[in-house]
Formats: sequence, C-alpha cells, structure tokens
Amino acid sequence: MTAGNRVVFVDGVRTPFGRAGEKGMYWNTRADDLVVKAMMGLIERNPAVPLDNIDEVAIAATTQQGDQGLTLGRTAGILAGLPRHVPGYAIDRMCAGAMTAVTATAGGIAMGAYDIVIAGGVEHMGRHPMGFGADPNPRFLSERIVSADALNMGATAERLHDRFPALTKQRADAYALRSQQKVAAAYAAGHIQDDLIPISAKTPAGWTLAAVDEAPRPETTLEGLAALKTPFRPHGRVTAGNASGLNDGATVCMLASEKTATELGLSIKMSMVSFAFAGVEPEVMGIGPVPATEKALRKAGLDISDIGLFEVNEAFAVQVLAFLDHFGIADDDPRVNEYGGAIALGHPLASSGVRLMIQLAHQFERHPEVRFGLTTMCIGLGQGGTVIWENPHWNGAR
Amino acid sequence: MSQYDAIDFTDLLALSDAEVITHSFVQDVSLPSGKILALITLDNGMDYKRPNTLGPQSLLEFDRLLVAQSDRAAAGEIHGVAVTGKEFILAAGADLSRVSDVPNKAMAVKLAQLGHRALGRLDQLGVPSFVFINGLALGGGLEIALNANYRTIDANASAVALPEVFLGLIPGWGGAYLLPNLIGIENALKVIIENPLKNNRMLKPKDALELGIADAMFGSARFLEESILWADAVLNGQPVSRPNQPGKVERLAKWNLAVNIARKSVEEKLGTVAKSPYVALELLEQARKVDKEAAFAREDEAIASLIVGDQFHASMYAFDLVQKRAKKPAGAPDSSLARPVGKVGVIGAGLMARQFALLFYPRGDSVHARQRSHQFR
Repeated sequence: MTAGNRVVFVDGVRTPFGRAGEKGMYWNTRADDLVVKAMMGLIERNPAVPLDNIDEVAIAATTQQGDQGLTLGRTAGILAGLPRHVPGYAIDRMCAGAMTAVTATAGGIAMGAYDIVIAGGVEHMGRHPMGFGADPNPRFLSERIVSADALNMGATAERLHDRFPALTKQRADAYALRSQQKVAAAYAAGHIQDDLIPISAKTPAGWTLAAVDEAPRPETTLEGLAALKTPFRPHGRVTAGNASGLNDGATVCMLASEKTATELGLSIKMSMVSFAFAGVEPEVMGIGPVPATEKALRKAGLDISDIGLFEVNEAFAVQVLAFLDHFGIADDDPRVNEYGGAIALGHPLASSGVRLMIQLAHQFERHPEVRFGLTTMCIGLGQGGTVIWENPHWNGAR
Repeated sequence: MSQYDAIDFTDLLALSDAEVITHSFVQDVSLPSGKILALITLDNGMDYKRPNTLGPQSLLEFDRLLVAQSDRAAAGEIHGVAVTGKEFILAAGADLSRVSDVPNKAMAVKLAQLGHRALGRLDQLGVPSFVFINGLALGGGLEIALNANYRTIDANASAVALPEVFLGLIPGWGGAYLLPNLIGIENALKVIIENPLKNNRMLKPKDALELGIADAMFGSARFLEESILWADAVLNGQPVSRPNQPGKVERLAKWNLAVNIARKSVEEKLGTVAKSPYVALELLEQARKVDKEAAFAREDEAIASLIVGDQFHASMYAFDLVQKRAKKPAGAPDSSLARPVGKVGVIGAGLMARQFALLFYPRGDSVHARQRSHQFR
C-alpha cells in the first residue's frame, strides 16, 4: 500500500527560547505547557486545517520525566484541544528529537498512513537537565565501549578540535560572534518574530509575557569571547561563548501530504526531498552531520553544490566548522545560518530540529533563487541527522 | 478619586499587624502593535488555598503602584495598565479577618475610603485599564475589575460574585454604583441582592460574560496571552460592545420600578429586620442619578454604618462558625498528625449510635455496630 506521497512542511512555530535555571524566564513554567501553547498557536494560525483530519501528534523530549514525560504527543494533543480521536506519541533521539518527530511522521505520510500530522519537541533543561536520572549501562565503561566522558558534550567538542587542528579557537570564536550578530540582524529585520508564539510566564515579580528569545547576547565581542574560561579542559578551546547554552523551549510544525495540502488549500512552505541519520563515534559526536548529510544527498541524488541554504544546528561552533571544512564551505558563507543559530538563540535539545526548519522555511520564501536547502544537526551519543528540502517558491526552470 | 488623595491612612495599619499582604508587582509587556502594557500581578505568595485578600497594607501597596503607573502614563512610557492575579485567583475581596475589630465608625469609613482610593485609580490612570479575571473574584476582588475600563475572564474561573449582602455588608468599593451602570439595574439586582440571598449563589464565568461583567472570555490554557492580545486590539481602537449598559429609557422608566420590585421581594422573603439588603437597594436606586464621587462617598458612609453595627458582627460570627470552622475546625490538631482509620466500631445501636455509625460509614472501610440486645429500638 506504499503511497509514495510527497511530504510538505505546512507551517511551523516555536516558543521564544529561555535560559535554563532559576533566573530563566520559564523557571516557573511547565514543559508540557510550552509545547501545548506552541501547538495551540500553530493551530490558530492555520484555520484551514480540519482538526478531525490530523492523524498523528509526535512530540519529542530528551529527558522524559515529570512534566516532560507521560507520552507527550498524546497529553499535549489533549491539552491543546485536539479531538480525542487524534492519537499521539513521544519520541527521543536526544538533540534530534523534533527532527526525528518530523522524519518519522513524514515516513508515515509517504507511506499513506497519515494525511496531516503535528510534529515537534520540547526541552525544559532548567527542570530536566540532560541525562538527569539516567542510568547508563556499566558495560559502556567496563568493556571500554565508549570513553567515560562521551556523555559530556563539551568534552566531545574539545576532541573535535583535537582531531582537526585547523579548527582553532580563534575560528570558533569568530564564528560564534557572527552567530550573535546574525541573530541580532534577523531580529532587527523581523525575520525571527514571525514564527514565535508568545508565552505568559510567572516570575517572582509577577506575570510577564515572553515574546522574544532570552539567550542572545548582541553585545558580544571577540575580546570578550577570548577571555572566557574553557570549563571542559585547562587551556581548552570550547567556552560558554562558542557553544550553545542550556535552554528551555518548544517547537511544533505541521506536515501533510502534498495532495492533502493542495486539496485543503494549506500553505506549502517546503517540500521534503530526503532525510538520513548516521552514527559516528560518540566521543566526537559533533562530526555526525557529515555522514548524515552525505547519506541524505546520496538518497536525493544531489550534490552539496546543489544546496543553496544551510541550517546547521550550532551545538558548538567547532562542530559547524568541521561540517563546513568537510564540504569546502567558507566559515562565513552567507548561505549558512543566515539568521544565526543556537549559539545565540539557544538549543533546548529535543526542540531544535524544528527550529532549523522554521528558519529555513522563512529563508526559502525570501530566496526564490534557491531550489534546495538542508537542515542538519549533531546528536549526543554520536549521531547526525539531515533533512533536505525543496523550495516551493523556487523560480528557476524545472 | 481626588477627594481621597489627602487622607492619611496610617492609623489603619493598627488593624493589619497580622495581615497576609497581597503584593502588587508590575512588568512591562511589549504588545504586537508596539505599545507597552504595564501588567500588574496581585500575589500574596501563598498557594490557591490562601487566596489574595486586600487588607490595609495590600491596598496601600496597590495604591502606590497605580500612582507610579499614572506618572509613567503621563510621561508616555506606557499605553495601558492591566491587573491580574496569581494562579487560579484574582482576589477573594477585602481582608475581613480584622474587620470585626474596627474600633469606631471613623475607622470603618477610612477602610472604605482606602479601597475607593486605590481601586478608583484604575479609572484615572490617563491610559485605559484592564483587569484580566484569571480566577476567583469575590467582593472587593471583583470590584477591582469593576473599577477598570475593560475586563476579560478565564472560562474556568472558579467563582465570580459580590457576596457582601450575604455577610451583612454592601459592595462598598464601587460595586453598588459601577455594576448597575455597567450591566443594567435588573442584572445588578440579581448579582448584588438576589444571588447573595439565595444562599450566596455565585456566577459562572459564562454568566459573567453574558451579564456584561466581562467584555471577553478566553480559555485557561492561553488566557493571559489572549487577554493581552485582546487588550492590544482595544488599545488600537477595536470597539467593545456592551449591550446591557443602561440607556436613557432604562434609567427613566425601568430603574426605580425594578428596585421597588426587588425591595418587595426581599421584604416578603426576609422581612425588614436585616439591614444590608435595604442599604444596598438604596445605593442601587441612587446609582441611577448621582455622579461617581457622590456615589462612592455614600458607599463609604453606608458600609461603615454596617461594619460597626451588631448585625454584621453576628453575621461574621455565624459565618465563621458554619463556613470557616466547618472546613477548618478551631483547635483541631493538624491533619498530618491523623492516622488512617480502617474499621470503626460503634457500641450500641440507639438513636445516637446509629447516627454515629452513619457518620463514619463513608469514611472507613467498614463500620461495625453492636448492642447488648439484638432488638433495635
């Protein structure tokens, strides 16, 4: 019964991302409320979607416990007011949770099992620090399957610097500075705000409305970055300034078969071309986007030179640079992360994949000269994930 | 109200040594239109079991914060002010815990005046004011909302009411004047007189919306977000319709008639001994023609007379006994000390023992009753 449907990205939204911890704007806000409110915002701005026809809700979270546990896709769907007959489930692939929610449900659409789905992710790293309560199998260490610090993401990034000596701290800092500057410019141009769903949040000083990301530091300078500590290794290269922080946030998007989207007159912001995940050594998890992207390109029958826009998750500057070097792309190539990335905006683990898609979709509309773009990210425990998208606004000859 | 500005309220603080203060916090919210809304949160720092209440210190803090907002409004820093409460609660009204201790009528007048001064500022900020009724809003809590220019309500707010007449008081922080002029005399009579006398019946959010107490209602999940967006629309000229607001015909023809009918009905049901319904009826009758300043002054006088009267004291005693103490018996040990009860045994099966058995019946696993003779009386 394989239908072979084309999958389209109808729309995507997210909450503003907060800084994790007691001083962060979402400290008193529940994780499930973040994703529920994002979902309600998505539904509200797509009134043409018949809620009865939504076939699946897939919501990712890395640390699935407490207010971030209990089969999020199902509970969030009920809380967002979806009809009871709309099913849902939860997903975990660490940093690529939301990306996996998209690819898994996209597979279902291609198969013909679904017409319309909601996919997204949430991570409240303030309430649920990464790996909290996890109990890794002792064999990992006793049999030396992975190094003891493979779960320490900062250490994996330092190791990436070791492996590629050309990736210096200076390059990483310069990249990080550009990320901050690009986010500030994208905000000034109003490119980010379009897809944010404001969230009311209680602080010790009363209710407030979180309408913009909390993490960006537009005042960042190279001198400031150079002076930061390297907490993962003495005389190391990875700092809080050239890495993403700890954040709270949620993202959701709607996917549909092209046929359904056309019939219902839904917006089509992107069409999925291919996707791929690939495993790498957990100790250098940051290299994951390289094999994942090669695999996704191969499956799409495309070459890296066909890609006109890149949305690369910035867990660490060094990991983006490793990807760019591999494909021979300049550090400051304007096709890469035009609106900046996670170093400035933040990286609430399982939610980030859809943020990349939201930003790529926004750029597609502004770049009709571009036909293909990709979203890619590295994944803790040594994986990479890549989704290649086609621009429906492309104005070239087919 | 300018008439209240010069009054020194410090002597009221003697009545508030044990007050659980409801603090007023403010945060500026940037609206989509670019305007700035000063969002005030009322929060006593405790959970929903101890609702926000308004004692002298709480009112003075709220008053100071509103003065600061009107200065900011004059400076062009803000374009609107909104008030909301902590989770599930706007406010449960005046702090009545010490009202029985008010030593004389002059102090009672001041209590009313302080409420009028603080809440009345919501209509004198120089910018529109909103109250987002996010939960429980009783008595003075609802009067905060009535003093503002616009109101939204959470579709799951647990209760909305002006229960003063039930307690032997009247809505004395503007309610007796503002409500009939907002939703019409017949609706106001229902809320201020009829419902309190029907064993203190409360309004559901849907009723509050239909009566016109609230201008808009939103679901709980995004209540604050949607209320803020709605406020932005109103600040940018979106009209707000109030079909129940009394017009000329109602004022001239219907008003006094409705009050007279209500008075008759109260006389039939209650007789004429209880004072508060009649005081409220009189205020409601006058609300047709007097201006706000005069109306508030009459409320001050009316509620003060009731506060120092015997009926209110008796009523508070009764209220404590049958409402408050029923939930939380005086002197009862902390419930965390209690041990779980499994079986309950009752010796005897006479009239009293049988009632004991019945009382325990739903609380334990089983109840065993025994008596010496097998013959029940």
